[in-house]
Formats: sequence, C-alpha cells, structure tokens
Amino acid sequence: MQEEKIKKSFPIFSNNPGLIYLDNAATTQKPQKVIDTVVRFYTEYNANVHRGIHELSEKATEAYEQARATIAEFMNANPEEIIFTSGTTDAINKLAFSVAELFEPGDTILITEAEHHSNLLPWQHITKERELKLRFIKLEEDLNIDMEDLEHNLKKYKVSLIAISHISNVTGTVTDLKTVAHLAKKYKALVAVDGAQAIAHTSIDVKKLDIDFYAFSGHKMYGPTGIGVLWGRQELLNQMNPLSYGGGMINMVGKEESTWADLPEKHEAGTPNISGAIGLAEAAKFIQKIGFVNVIDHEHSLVEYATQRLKEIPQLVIYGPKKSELRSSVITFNTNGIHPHDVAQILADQKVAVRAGHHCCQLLHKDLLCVPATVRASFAVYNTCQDIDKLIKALNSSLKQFSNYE
Amino acid sequence: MNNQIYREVILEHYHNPHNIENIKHHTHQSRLVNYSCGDEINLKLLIENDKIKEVQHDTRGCAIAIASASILSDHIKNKSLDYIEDIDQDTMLELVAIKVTPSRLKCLLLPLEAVKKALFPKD
Repeated sequence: MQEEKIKKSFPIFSNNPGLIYLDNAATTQKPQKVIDTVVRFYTEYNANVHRGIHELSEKATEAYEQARATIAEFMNANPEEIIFTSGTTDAINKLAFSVAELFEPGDTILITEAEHHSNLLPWQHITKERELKLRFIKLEEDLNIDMEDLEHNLKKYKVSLIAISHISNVTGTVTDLKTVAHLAKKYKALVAVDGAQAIAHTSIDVKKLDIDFYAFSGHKMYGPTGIGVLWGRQELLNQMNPLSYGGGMINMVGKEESTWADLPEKHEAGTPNISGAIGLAEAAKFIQKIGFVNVIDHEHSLVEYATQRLKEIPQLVIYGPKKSELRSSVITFNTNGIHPHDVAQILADQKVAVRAGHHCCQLLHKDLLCVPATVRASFAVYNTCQDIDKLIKALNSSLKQFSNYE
Repeated sequence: MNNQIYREVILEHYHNPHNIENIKHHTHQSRLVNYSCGDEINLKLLIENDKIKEVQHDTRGCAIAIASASILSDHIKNKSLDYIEDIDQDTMLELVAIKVTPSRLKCLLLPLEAVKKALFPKD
C-alpha cells in the first residue's frame, strides 16, 4: 500500500507539517474528496430532501438516497435497512429505546465490561426502565468473550439481546461475531453490534455475520462528524416502533393515532444530516478504492511493528491480546511510573497525537485493566512505520525526562 | 519552549511532593476525583485562629496535579481564610508558573478545588 500517497490526499497533514496522528480511534482525518463532496452539496445543490418539487430538492434527495445505497453496498445490506443517525451513540440509544419495547419484563440483555460507555449506558438505563435484567458475559484474559460463559448465560436466562462491540476501542480485541451470532440464534437472542471501532478497519458483511443490528459512526471512517448508521434486519425494523417521531416519518396523522411511513423513512424523523450522509458515502468509496484486503494488511503490519518496537521499552505494559493477529489497529499501554496524561503531553510536544484517559471505558479500566487511565495509539490507512518510530522516539524521551529524577 | 510544562521545579515537586506527612489533628478535609482521568486528592487542613496551621495532601495522578498540590500546600500555610478564599485560577497559574492547555488546566486546578471544598463547602 502506498501510504505516503494516501497521506497526501488528507489536507490536515499539509496544513500541520510534522504531525504524527495516532488518535484514529477517536476520529480519523478526512480526505480532500470527502471535504469537497460536503462543500459541493452546500455550494451547488443545498435543499431539503423528499417532497420538494423543485430541481435542487430532487438533486439533494437523489444524492441522499444514493448515499444510502452506497452504504448498504458497503456492508452488504438492503438500502431500506440503513437508518441514518448522528453517530454510533445516537444509533445505540435509539435502538435500545425502541427494541426494548419488544421484550418482556425479566428478559436479560447481555453485554461485557469492555463496552464503550455508548454501548453500556443505554442498556443500563433501559433495563432499569423496563424491568429487564442486565448481565455481563465473562471475558477471557485477552478480553475476548468467554464463549462457554456466553452459552451458559443463554441457557440459564431468557436472553432477548446481546449487545457487543465488534472491536474494542481500548485493546483492539476483535470479537468473534460469527460464533456469538451462531450461539445467539440457537437460543433465539438478538445480536446488536457496536461497530464504531471496526467500520474503517475490517470489511463487514451483515448477511454473512448473521447478526441483527450494527451501529457505526461516519467520523471514524474518514467521513464527517454528526453522521452515523443504524443497520437493522428489515423484519425487526418493521416490527419496532419508530426510533423517533416528527416530520418525514408518517403516512397519515390523526388526532389520536398516526401511521408510519415505510422503511427507512419510518425511523428517520426530521431533516436528516444530508451533507453528512453524502460525505459518508464518499468516505466509504475512499475505503473501497483502497480495498479492505490492503487496509487490513497494512494496519496489521503497523500493529505488529508497533508491538515489537514498544516491547523494546522495558518499563512499558501493553494491554489486550498478546498475539498481534488478534488485535485490530489499537495499542493501549502504560509506562511504569508516568501518568498517561504526562506521557500524552510530552508526545504532543513532539507532535505525536495520542489519547490518554479511560477512553470512555471506565468499567474496563477499573475492573479488568485495574488502572484509572492508559495511553492509546491507534492507526489508520495513512500511518507509516516512520510514524511509529517517531512515537517510540518521543516515548523514550518522555521516559528519560522523568527518570532523571529517580 | 519544548516541554516547558515539565520544567525542573515541577518534576522536583512531582517526585518529592511537600506536605504529604500525616498530620495529627485536622479540622477540615475533602476528597476530590477528576473522573475523566482518575486523578484523586485527599486533603486535610488544621485551622487555628482563622489561619491554616497544617496541611496534608495525598494526591494521585499526573505530574501537573501532584506538583500543583505540592506547591499550593506550601503556599497556603499560615495564610488567612480570607486570603485563601480569593485564590483563583490566575493565582494558581502564577504559583505553578507553567503554561497549560485547557485539558490540563483541570489537573492544575484540582488541588485548589479540594482546598475550597474543604473550607467553603457549597451545600
């Protein structure tokens, strides 16, 4: 892969010479093409979608629906199953509120302690609200799901849904979704996947995976902020009450009762994020052009190289899967004795952007990693081995700075 | 200006913070946690005649939080409550004498918040 050439298609790098951007799990940078697509919408054919009987509205509608089709193709779904949201958090919240109405009091929802707060708090809230039970699946040492414990839970309780992340935003652990889905089907439980951390890093085929819901954000896959997707199986989306209520999602409105539009409009109340959806589709095309085979190959070699180089630093602890082939493009670590904030600060002074904190996973840090915070370096298609060399160099200099005082 | 934030005096306070020894008596105390990063301060103060006689802090966190707690604990000894009440962000920035980004300002101000919480609790 020609990552240097790819880097050139991201204007952030020419505007910030020397920037080593390793905070991709938080948000990725945007290619010029995505930015241009958003600008073109606002400068050339901005109008509201649906029912505008004028040229611009027709054009905006066409582009918006074409974006839906592109995203559907990107994950092997049907276009009417693609519901645009403002992001993963919005998608999971809306899903939780609506899908829980299909469950009976006492039913169990299964999650793990490794979930991002956005795939924990909506379920925590809704299980309390609707007298459901929230239970946690055991995790193995490298934070993979303990499949035996999952099956044990499925046998023992009436599980209506398993909510699980595809890839951990802290440890990069990749969930074996096929096995989860297979077990879930056996016990008639639904599977909802938080794909925020996966969408830019691995190809997704919702039909093959045999799952029920998949949520992700545009901004973590080279697209704009404020746009995301909830994909759901058609029969479930039909069965569920609307995710929200308002303009654009009705057939007939009465004083007491109203009827809903067909999918996907039924679940998209209000003016959607049109430019966001169009930009997101452009981002999907950007990834497709590189090809997931190349993305996976490139990011895997980055993880491998980074792991190897980080291991050269004796004071450093790496969290998550020991084998790099089980890890997606995230490496989280701590340097003994230096607080993650201080590490991130010193790296920042050398133009290396990483993230320090609990990465919205307090449970994971508290109960499994047993530290309040960690440093996270996360990779994307434009990163290079030289970026990792600079990370290591900056890490060594931060260690040196602090150890002078021992 | 590279790493100006970790100039020597900050690292010195970080590695050898002042006023961490147990004090026998205290009249005021507080505990504060910055939940976004896990920084934590436990503070005990002995007030006599409206002045701070003794200070003890147990601060866990980044270098900025610990150094700031150490520097502030020195500064407030033998100062009047009236004076302490007037300490603000600007005073802290002057005392610690580093330039911090908005995200690190929280770390720097945590000790002051703990002092204010102990002395002037808002119910």
